[in-house]
Amino acid sequence: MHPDDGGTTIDRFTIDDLQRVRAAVANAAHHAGLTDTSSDDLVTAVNEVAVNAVAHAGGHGSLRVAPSAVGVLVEVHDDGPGMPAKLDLQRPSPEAIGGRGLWLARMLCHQVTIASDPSGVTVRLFMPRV
Amino acid sequence: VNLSITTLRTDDATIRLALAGEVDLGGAKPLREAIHGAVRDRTVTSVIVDLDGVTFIDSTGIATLVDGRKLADVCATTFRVDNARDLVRRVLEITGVLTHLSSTSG
Repeated sequence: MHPDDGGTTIDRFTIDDLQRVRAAVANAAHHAGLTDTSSDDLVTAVNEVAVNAVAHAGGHGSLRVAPSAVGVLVEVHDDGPGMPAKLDLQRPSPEAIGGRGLWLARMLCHQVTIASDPSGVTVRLFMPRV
Repeated sequence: VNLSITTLRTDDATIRLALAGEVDLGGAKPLREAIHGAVRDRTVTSVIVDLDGVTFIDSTGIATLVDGRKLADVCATTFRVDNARDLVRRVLEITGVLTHLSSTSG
């Protein structure tokens, strides 16, 4: 990977690294020429997937961020038990305490795929350059 | 944790929690403690969470605010979230909690 194309890999992130995860995504979005709104949306969506890994899938995960001419691809991998392949599209009630994280990720980033295998779960998020 | 919480007594019975920074998974716990402390204070009848200085909020931060609102309703304390801006406002709108959190009740 070219050192200054905005691409990054974080082999192991924990609760203490979420800011670094967000900064890596924002940097890639900048390099790929995403709009500020698209960048904010991708950063927020990736953060929710990373929070899910930290809070529900063993406390850590890995991140790969790959900007290109057409947009930014982000992969978040964790070794947790897995998650449903299809996310619930029903918005949680305003009074519900939790359950918004992956719903929000899906709302802000329309291209989200989830792949489970014996090594864990890989969530791929793609934000196109428009 | 990249979140600062300043507790202001704006009058005898009102606490304004002025937040600055990012309300994420790491900031949710200190925010919860600050909100619960303010709401449970028997001399306080009104708690305002001021998001003016907040640049980022995630679902755990939202959960903390909704939880604060719920506790305030139980304690008959007025609770309101104020000054959500830009991305923070948009995320609160998309998740459908902005009206719930911005309206004064107690």
